[in-house]
Amino acid sequence: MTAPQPLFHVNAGHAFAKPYESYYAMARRCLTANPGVSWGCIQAMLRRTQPAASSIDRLARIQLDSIATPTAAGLALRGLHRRQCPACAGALYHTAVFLLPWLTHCPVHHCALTEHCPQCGCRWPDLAEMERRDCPRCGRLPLHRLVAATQDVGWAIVGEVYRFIAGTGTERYTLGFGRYPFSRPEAAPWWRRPALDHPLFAAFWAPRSRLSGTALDALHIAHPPLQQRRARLTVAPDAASLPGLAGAGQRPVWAPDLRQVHRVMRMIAIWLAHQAPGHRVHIVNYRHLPLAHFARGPRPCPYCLALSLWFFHTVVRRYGPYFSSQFDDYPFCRPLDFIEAVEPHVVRRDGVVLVPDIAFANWLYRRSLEIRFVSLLQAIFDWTGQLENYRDHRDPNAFRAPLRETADGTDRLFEIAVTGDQLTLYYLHEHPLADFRPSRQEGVTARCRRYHRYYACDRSDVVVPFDHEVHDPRLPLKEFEKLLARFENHLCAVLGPRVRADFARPPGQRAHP
Amino acid sequence: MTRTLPDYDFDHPVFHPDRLRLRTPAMDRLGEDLHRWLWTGATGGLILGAARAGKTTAVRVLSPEVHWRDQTHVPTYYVSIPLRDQRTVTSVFRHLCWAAELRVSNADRADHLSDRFVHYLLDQATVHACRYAILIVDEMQRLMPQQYGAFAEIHDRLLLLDIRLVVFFVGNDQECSELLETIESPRYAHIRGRFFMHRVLFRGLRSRRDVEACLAEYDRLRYPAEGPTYTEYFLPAAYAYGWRLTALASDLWRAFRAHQRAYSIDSWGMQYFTATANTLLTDFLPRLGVEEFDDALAREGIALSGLLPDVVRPVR
Repeated sequence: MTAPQPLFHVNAGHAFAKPYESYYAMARRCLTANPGVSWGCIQAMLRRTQPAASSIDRLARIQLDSIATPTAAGLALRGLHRRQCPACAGALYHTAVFLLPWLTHCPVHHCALTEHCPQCGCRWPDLAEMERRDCPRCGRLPLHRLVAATQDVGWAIVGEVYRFIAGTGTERYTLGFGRYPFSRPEAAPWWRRPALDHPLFAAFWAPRSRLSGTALDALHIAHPPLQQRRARLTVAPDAASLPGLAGAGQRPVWAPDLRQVHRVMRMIAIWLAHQAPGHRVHIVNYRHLPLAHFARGPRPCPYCLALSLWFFHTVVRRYGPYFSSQFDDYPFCRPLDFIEAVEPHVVRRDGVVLVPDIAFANWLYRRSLEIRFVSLLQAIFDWTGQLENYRDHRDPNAFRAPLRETADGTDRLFEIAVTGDQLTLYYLHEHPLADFRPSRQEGVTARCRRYHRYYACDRSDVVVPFDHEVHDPRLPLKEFEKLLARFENHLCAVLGPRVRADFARPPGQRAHP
Repeated sequence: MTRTLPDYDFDHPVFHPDRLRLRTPAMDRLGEDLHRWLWTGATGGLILGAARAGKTTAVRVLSPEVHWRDQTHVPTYYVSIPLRDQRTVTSVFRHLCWAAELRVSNADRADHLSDRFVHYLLDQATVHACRYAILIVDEMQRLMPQQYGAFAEIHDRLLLLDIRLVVFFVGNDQECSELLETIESPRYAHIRGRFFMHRVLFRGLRSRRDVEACLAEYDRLRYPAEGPTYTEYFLPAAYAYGWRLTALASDLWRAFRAHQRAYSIDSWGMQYFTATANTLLTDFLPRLGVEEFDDALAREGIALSGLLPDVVRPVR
């Protein structure tokens, strides 16, 4: 069956076509080249001649082959118009990379990308709005203003941005933790490469690009400097023994290095003392506390709550996954299920597994603990905000968003480069905790005391209470050991004498793996 | 040997004078004139001629052949002006848009129609990678003087966008005289300066050599493309003996000259000439044989072509 004959000819505006233009620009010049014809009418005409094609294909097919341009793969087509270069808009040009937040200025005109038309002050119009706009910059351009649109002012430079996105080729290495490779979506909440539309994409992508820093600056690609840490890689002697590469269905058997935990916890304690002078940190077991406990009592201390959840979650892993699942279950929030940034390894494309040196692995683990605390603290701030909302308004929907780690932190972004036997990990901040700026907490010390008095009285739901006050904010090793010993006693008390007997056995012979 | 009518393929161009494209010496001369104007930077020109002289066919044949100095093809657009009660500038833009198959609605303003057509020419210039465009406006005598402003506007707007539009107006010289006198007035100096500085008079056949050249086309052109020549198709036996239609040139010209002297005819219009040649080729010669051709048959052919009713007016 042949396609129906067109009712009328649609001007495509070929004279205004430019390289790397977006669908929006194509549609805009088509609209400009057919004065007085509505966008709906043009679309209906194109639909008539190419019924099976998509809107974009219909428009693309009436373009000349010689100047057909690629679209920005991976970029959402809707809302392309929201960010534009005013000078380009006056020349009927728009490219999809303008939408990317890391592109600060137009690479052609070197002017800032804006969300509003500087001439009429309105938001850049979509195609439906455009035909109603009278603005000579963002609407349909009158003929006498189109002279600029036909001139080549170096549009090809936009291609450099596209080539930057395309990168240097295929990825040869994958970094993984335990059984989770970085590319897996399960690992996304913890460590991830920034997506194309992330403001820091260019910063993390730059090490893989052949463009120099000066060239990136000339293109107005924002690439803040990154920290980097190098590690020496060695081939794993027995790759199958790595937890991550063990057979399917097997959970990794791994215990945290308590020396690393102590180092990080000491740093957190010092940071908390700096944030709230005079505040005494309480490590408390919130495991059996229902939401009602918080709702009817005084406001909980966010610092203590965050550090307690962090401590319990981190240390309990020493006793195996069974206890982890038991202790990560809190009645007032969803079970905490975090992926551990432990035992890093690099898998080469040919399947060879490489492991970094132990110093790097320890540093990475400490960093992940630090990030987890920051993330938890931020989540606790949000949760206490919800709690306040519930108290004030008795809003049943206040806790619709469960307590979970926030996944928008920039500290989890990474990029790796492997040169010979050397691994380089790129990241943004050296110390995520040092760069974390929490919202100001008024009277947190008094609040903390008040809550702990309430906690001490209201223990009707708590089977075995656990409340350890950290006296020295520098958390010396002895105090940490004391805390650990107390925690182990608590664990036995909670889970019964059967567990105490189990602990007496060597790790390989325990009933609870 | 003669053929019977049912043997013929009635799709043959000789049976359809509107499809018959004979290359005439006048056409070649016109082609030279058009190229000279184009290459010397003229913005327009007038092609005048008697009715039925073959002006429209000539420009239609020449259109695909127009090229720039570097042999790149120059896109050519043709519009025939219809006679309407409302003769406005808007109607000119409307006709131009119709001719280009652009969308036209009653609600369209002149600005939109004008810009739409300019964008069309701009698009085509980009497609053909040529910054020149030729617009042929046929039946120009049907335009009012002020309507020529529409073409000046399109020309100027395209010039802004670095596209040079050359407008050739084609008209009947007898009907155009009054219009051309009006255009001569200072009020229309911008029109005259743009489009009417170059003129050419297109004439029909004016010599035996012209007639011979046209008849030679019947001996050259083939239908279908790989089939016999027109002459061979209708007169296969004579053609096989080496007879060609050009052999009739002197006799036909002599017969026409008689009429030319009697009625002061300027030239032999192509419509009447092709009608005469086609009648001889399809009817008289196949039935009677080429050896039977004489002056009487030539006169009969001319009479059947309708030339005489056109030049002879009834006396009251």
